[in-house]
Parts: sequence; C-alpha cells; structure tokens
Amino acid sequence: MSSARPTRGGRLTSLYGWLAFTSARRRDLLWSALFSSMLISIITATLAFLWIAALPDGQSIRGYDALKMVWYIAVAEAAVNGVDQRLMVRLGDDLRRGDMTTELLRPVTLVWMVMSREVGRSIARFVLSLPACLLVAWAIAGPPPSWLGLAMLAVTGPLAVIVQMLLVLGATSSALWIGDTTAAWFVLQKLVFLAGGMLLPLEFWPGIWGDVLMVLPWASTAYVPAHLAVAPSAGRFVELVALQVGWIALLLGATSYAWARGERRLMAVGG
Amino acid sequence: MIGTMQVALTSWRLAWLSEISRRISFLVQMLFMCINDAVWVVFWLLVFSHRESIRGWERDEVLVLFAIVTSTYGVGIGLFYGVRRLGDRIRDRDLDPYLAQPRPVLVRVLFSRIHPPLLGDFAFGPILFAIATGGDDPMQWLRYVMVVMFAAAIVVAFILTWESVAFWAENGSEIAGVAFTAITVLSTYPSAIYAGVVKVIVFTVVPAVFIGSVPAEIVLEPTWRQLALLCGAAAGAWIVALGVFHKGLRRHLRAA
Repeated sequence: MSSARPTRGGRLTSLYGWLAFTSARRRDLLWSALFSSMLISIITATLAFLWIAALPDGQSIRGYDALKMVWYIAVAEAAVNGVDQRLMVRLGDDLRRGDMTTELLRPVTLVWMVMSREVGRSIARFVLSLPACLLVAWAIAGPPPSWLGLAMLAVTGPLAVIVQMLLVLGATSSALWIGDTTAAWFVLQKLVFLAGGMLLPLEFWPGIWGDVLMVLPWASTAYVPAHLAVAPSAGRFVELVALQVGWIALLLGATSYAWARGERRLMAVGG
Repeated sequence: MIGTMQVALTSWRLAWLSEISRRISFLVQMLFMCINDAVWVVFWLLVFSHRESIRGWERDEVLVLFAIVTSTYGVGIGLFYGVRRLGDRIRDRDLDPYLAQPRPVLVRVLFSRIHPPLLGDFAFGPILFAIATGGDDPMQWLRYVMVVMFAAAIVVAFILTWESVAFWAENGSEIAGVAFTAITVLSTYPSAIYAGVVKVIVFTVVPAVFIGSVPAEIVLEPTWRQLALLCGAAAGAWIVALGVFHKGLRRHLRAA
C-alpha cells in the first residue's frame, strides 16, 4: 500500500494557498476596502471631471473620447488600489523595527509567507473596490463602452494586482539598506501612476515613449486591464495577458532573490 | 504667551533635530518627493501636449497652481506634521501626557513633528513657480508667498478639524485620511473643471479651491474680491477647527 503523505513542498504549497485564502477573508479588510473605495472614488471622480472638461462634444485623443477616458480611469484606479498603498510603508516599518525578525522563527520562507498573505488581501481589495469605481464612472459618464472589455477584467484585473504587489515587495527590500520606504514608495507609486498608465493611457506619450512603456512592468498594473476594458480585442488580450504573466514570473524570481538576501542580513545583524 | 511661544519653538527645534539626525534619509526623502512632484508636472505637460487649454486654464497657469499647492503642503503639513498624526495619537491615548502640562495641548500637537518628504514639496514649489512664470516679477513673488501662507493655514485647519473626529469616532484617523486625500486631490486641479454639487463642495465642505485655484488667480490676476475670499476662508476654517478640537478635547478630558 503506497503512502498518501504529502511531500514537504506540497504541504508548504497548500499552506501558502490557505494563508492567501484566509487573508482574503479577514474582517478588517472590509473597513480598509471601504475607506480606500471612498478615496479612489474621489480620485476617479476628479479625473473624470478633468477629462470631461478636456474632451467636450465628442472630441477624442488617440481614440479615447470622454466616455472611454472616464471608464479607463475607473478601471485603472481600481486595479492600482487593489494593492494597499500603505503596504510598502507598513512592511518597511516591520523590517526596520525588527518586528519581522519574529516571523523568521516560522518554518516557512519569509517572502513566500508575506506574498501569500498579501496576494489574498490584494485580490479581495480589488474585488471590493472595483464596483465603487465603476459606479462613479457610470454616474458621471454613462454606461460602459464595452461589456466584453469589462468581462476581460476577470483575468487582467487579478494579474495586474499581482504584478503591482510583486513590484511593491521587491522595492520594500530597500528598507534594509536605507532604513525607510516612504520615499521609495512615493516613487514607485508615481511610476505606476504615470508609466503604468493609471493617470492617462500610454498612447498619450509622444514618439516611441508609449511603445517602450507598454512593455515595462508598470504597464501591466494599470494600462493593460484599463485599455482592454475600453478597447477589447482577442489578439490584444492574448498579447497583453502573456506580458502580464511574463512579468509575474520575472518579478517572482527577482523579489525572492532580494528578500532572501534581506533575510540573511536580518539574521546576521537583526532588525 | 511668551512661554507658550518658547515651548512651541523648542518642540519644533527638537522635531528638526530628530529628523536631521538621520541626514541621508532626510535628504533622500526630500529628493524623492521632488521626483514625485516632477511626475505630476510631466502629467500636465502630457495633457497640454494634446490640448491648448482646459476651460480657460492654460499650461503655465496650471503649473502655477501646482507650484502653489506643493508649497502649501510643504509649509502646512511638512512643518506642522503633528496635526496629521493627531487622530492616531487620540486613539492611542498619546495626548494624555500633554493634558497635565500648563501649555496649550494644540500648540504641543502642532509643533511636535515635521515631515521630511513634504519639505521636498516646500523646495519644489518655488522652483516650478519660477519656471512657469519666468520668476522676474517681485510683486508676483510677494503674492505667491502671501497666498501660500493663507492656503497653508487653511490646510492645517481643515486637517485639524477632521483629525479631531477621532475624539468621537474610533476610525477618526481613517476618516481624516479620506478628508486629507480629498482636499489634496481636488486642490491640484483647476476649479473650472468642477460643476454642480462638486463645485459647491470644493468651496465649502472640502475647501480645495482655496488651496489651489483661488490663490493661483490671486497670483496671476489679483483682485481684492479674491483676496478677501481667501482671508475669509482662512478665518472660517480656523474658527471651525478650534471649535471642533476644543469640544473634542473637553470630551477627552471628561473620559480621562
């Protein structure tokens, strides 16, 4: 009779999966999502007003009229808001104060544990905040330009959240060297805003800038889900989802490496 | 009064010394905030590369508005960051040590912290202002400094009001966070883009136009009416803030 005992790797995989699932069900997430939904509703509405003012009477820029712009902004805001914008500062503080050193006592890899916990929370936040943004867009500009585009969000949305979360976790490791993540957080956040296409579509950049930014990781966090939501096509969907998956694989490796180095440093010199 | 001023200045000096003791971190945070502000400038340049103007606001006018907003936050929140942490301190009962002291609690709160990243805003604003206006009109500089002072007073009063909600609500700090984001976001865009109910809100409940648009109009084309409006908004914001804070503090004292 063969043994049915799972391997250590298998046990850990299910442990990380369970951690992601239980993190997504925490009750405090509701409060946090409620407040962040209020915040992004304000931001979405403000940007919507800007674009309605900038694109009156059916005018458009690079194929985006006011309706498409408002829905683009709404989706991009929801995708970016999926990751707690204070996550980097919070993790940085934990690392700096040494609180994270107690986590090293657990028989798991630190970065994978943090990653599992935050993936669960982030995807739940995205699902909770998306309706708020979409409602704001509908109330200000009218019904969505494409229902098919919105359906594509089921795939592109969670992938966008995972890419952003990996970028945040990678940058958080800098706390071990410069002692504070606040400034790095500002810069990463602004890269997502501008190079990621959260504030305006990448087509708005002049010359080859837009083409270059489209293949960088930030584009996968906001531009990909937002662009496909307002201008869906099967070919573009496959292409952009492949890009998101590729960046997830690459960032997973880079983040694991950076944290492994940080973990060794924590063990050697403490928090 | 002189004693209170001395306490305020000593608190402020200690806050400075505490922050600049980590000099590299202090400078890096300031620099990164300047980069952050530059990102917004790029945003506006991109927008105006496709549009000549937005409801009468041209590129350089919007940049002047943005310069005023960054300086305002640098002065208001960067130098009086204690006000931004008030809600957390109320919740953590961290105000209690001040209650037994003879100096006003509000003074101790206001002067207790500075925030290096926002001091980056403080440095960035005048540079952007000089670029956007040419920087060769001394009267325009004078008006710039004056409106920044008024706008900073409004921001501090507004944040004080909302952070004081923590005297009543457990989630007061989060509510204040929403209010802070609202006034920050709404103030960085020209008031001409708002219409209907939102226009009423940015002139009253969230007085964002008094942080960005009205000061920018005073700097670019001053009128006595606009100046009176700004002074009135600053006075009104402080009357409300002091009323709410002291009412909350009395409640806190009774509970303690």
